[in-house]
Amino acid sequence: MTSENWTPHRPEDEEQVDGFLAESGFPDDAGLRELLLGLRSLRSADVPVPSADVAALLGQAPQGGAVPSNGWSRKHAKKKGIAVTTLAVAASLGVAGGAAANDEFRRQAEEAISTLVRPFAPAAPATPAPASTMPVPSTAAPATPPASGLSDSGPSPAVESRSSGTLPTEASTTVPAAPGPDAAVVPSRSAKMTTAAVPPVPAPGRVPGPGQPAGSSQAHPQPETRVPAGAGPGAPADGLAQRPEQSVPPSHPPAAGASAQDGLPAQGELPAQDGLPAQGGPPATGKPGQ
Amino acid sequence: MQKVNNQAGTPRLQDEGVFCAVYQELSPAVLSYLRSRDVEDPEAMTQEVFLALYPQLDGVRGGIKGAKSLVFSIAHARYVDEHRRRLKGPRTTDYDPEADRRCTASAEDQLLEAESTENVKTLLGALKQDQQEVLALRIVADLSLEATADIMGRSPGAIKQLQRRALARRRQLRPSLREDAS
Repeated sequence: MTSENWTPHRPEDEEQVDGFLAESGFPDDAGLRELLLGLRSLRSADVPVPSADVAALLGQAPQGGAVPSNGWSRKHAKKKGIAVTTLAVAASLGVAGGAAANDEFRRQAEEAISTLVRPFAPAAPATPAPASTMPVPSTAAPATPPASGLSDSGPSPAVESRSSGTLPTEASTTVPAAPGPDAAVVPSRSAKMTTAAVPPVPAPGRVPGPGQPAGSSQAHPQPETRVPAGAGPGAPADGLAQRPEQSVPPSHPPAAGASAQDGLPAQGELPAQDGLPAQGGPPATGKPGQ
Repeated sequence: MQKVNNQAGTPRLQDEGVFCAVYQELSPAVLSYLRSRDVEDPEAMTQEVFLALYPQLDGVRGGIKGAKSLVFSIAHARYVDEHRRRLKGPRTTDYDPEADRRCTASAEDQLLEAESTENVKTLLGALKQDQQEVLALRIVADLSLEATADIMGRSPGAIKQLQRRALARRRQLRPSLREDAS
């Protein structure tokens, strides 16, 4: 074999061939080593295209394409579909457990909530509730289970709190006077996030400040904190600042003191837009608990 | 066919997801092995192997190792059956243009594949069938000594002896092969 024909062998191949040669009593035979490495190089790493029958067993539609790398089966596809649906629903309710752990998601949720809640504040303009765009089905409630766990633990503010159900407790919160599209949005949420879910804009401490780190007080609006009337959002980094400042009536204490405990955003934060929890209000400048 | 023994505490290979994983993991090696054995249609036989494997997955123990042993037991048996058929009669095959995947391969790929096949024939052609089989199972299929012994129905000591003889034979043939190549 000339040098120009030399091709590098994979370390695992060399190791395997060396072991084989030693086992067979030819540990130092370079010629045999090269021959066996050549034989070893015939190993292909490409997964052959499955036949129609094998594809059916793999849970795939028979086709000419290569087998998916992850080998999805029908069962996996169903599970994935269910998971996606659940997650989407939970996200719209702001109770996605997985999303709850995501700071970005929380910020978005907070924005959405504040967008939704703001219109309910006194003198709040009839702002088309972003939440109205949230297609949260009333059946989203089932998606909360993970949230419930989250609400207990969590760092995740709005999402978790929502999931725990404290947010939308009908009994605990009352929808501020502002009706209209926003209000309409509320009912669209799960029972937990119904009208009651629109408590007065939580105090800064309550409202999970957008951009607020997870687990911070932002996620856990504190009863004692208030959104200063007219105190515009503390310019949440992610956009609350852009929303018109509105004075927020003293909020009901988080429907659940739960909100404070389990990080529930100030009550009434409803998912505003496309499934994201509405921002509860101005970002807490001084988030309690933070 | 190798018998898969139950191993207490090891997970059973059951559902579709497991079959997918086994296919992903082992189908390239099975195809390589069948190509090295110069079967008529290694791709089709690979599919036959996994079709035969599927109903037996439930009884496999030992995880992927157990599945690997079973897969190559099946592949080995299929190869032996075809080899016997070829010994009895001429090799015939119908050409199906639609099934010919070479139309998608580049000329370079085809050339490399042809060279690989030639390399295999060069490497194994001068050896006895069982010697070829041992090298194919140990080197191409990457099976252990014990698994190879199980598949071939021999003891590990007999397999080791077979390996030794195969390599000695290859070493003896090396000078003549070099002359042929030049």
